[in-house]
Amino acid sequence: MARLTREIEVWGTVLYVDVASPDVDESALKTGLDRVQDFSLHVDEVFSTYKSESVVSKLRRKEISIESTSDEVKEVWNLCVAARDMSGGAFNPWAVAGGFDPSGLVKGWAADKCAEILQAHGGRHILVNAAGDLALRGGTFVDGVVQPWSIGIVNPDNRQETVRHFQISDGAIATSGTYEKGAHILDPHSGMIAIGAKSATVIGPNGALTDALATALMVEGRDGAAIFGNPELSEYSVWVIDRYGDVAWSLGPLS
Amino acid sequence: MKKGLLISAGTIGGLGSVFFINNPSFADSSSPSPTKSPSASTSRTFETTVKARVKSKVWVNVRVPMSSAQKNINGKFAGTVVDVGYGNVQVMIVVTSGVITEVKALQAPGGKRSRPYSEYALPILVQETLQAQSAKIDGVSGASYTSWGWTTSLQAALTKAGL
Repeated sequence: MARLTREIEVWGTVLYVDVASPDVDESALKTGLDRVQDFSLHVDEVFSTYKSESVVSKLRRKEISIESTSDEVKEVWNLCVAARDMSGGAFNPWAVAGGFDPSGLVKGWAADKCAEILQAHGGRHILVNAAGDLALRGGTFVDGVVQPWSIGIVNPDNRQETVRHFQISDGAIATSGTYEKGAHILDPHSGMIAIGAKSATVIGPNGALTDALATALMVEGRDGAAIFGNPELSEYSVWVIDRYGDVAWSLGPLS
Repeated sequence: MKKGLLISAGTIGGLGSVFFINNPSFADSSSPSPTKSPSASTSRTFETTVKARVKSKVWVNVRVPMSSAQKNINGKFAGTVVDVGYGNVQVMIVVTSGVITEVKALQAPGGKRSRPYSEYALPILVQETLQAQSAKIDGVSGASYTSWGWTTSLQAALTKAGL
């Protein structure tokens, strides 16, 4: 079993990758990690709202139209549309100052893409941690046994602790909270800082949607769990700690 | 990637299984250590080996002293300085009677971009190292943090302490 880990400083944070495989040697995994690194830097160039020459910055300034962009930018745009509609507008990348900002979805989307790159290079047991948004594939190989990855949810009241653990073999998990970078989520309905929830976790097959819907739940609080009654989201699980410390959850059929 | 979620029915190992204790054995604790008491360096001590999971998939073998001589391991031990590419990580442990009582970062990435991340990451790593409460955790959602430099430096500190 070849296994490699790498930390990549990108997107103003750290991307942590763990990949293992019984099928290929270390050099193949290293090549996969190199491609992940290239891809993550590319994502920064294209999607960063901090880089004035990024495609997204040009979209925000309306210098270019979405029709003129690459397939991956259109893919992210379309995912933003889907997430906005599924969340009833609680996630709305068009309702922010300065124009279209897909930042609330790109990390989760990119984590999925990184996992796919590693799979294409023979990776079988994969964890991609994009600053708290994770993509997981194939469980983890420990002492000769494949087990689900064990993912902790950080405690919004004491970020030195985790408050709950989820066991996930394949899928994505994202948590949004008021603890990181202060209260950074705006309610698109009111334009005010969202106070719906303290922490919201979403687990599901698509990393981009888990990321976006975790943000949406911050706006909606416990009531937002109703979003997950949407048949399109039947595979998704949600776990919310509201501002009073109460928890609500809606676990998918496979949990 | 449209595979459905597979969430296991039960946690494996359980959250409490921080340590795996092997059969106790007699071991010669003659390896030099900076602050062991002189008597410890020559005595045959009854001890047992435990595997402590300090972070993610990394386990360290920790020999737990069972004799009073071994319990005399006290002091501060600094790990090696590890360059993680965007700054240095260096861990220091405080050992009291053979038990790690405190973990500190002597160095952490402090650049303009890395600082917020370090401020966030370090408390989690300290917590995990001290309590190993997250022994089964492979990652944390909602937190951005690193582990590699931390673990590498920590292992050096443990070795230095003779733990």
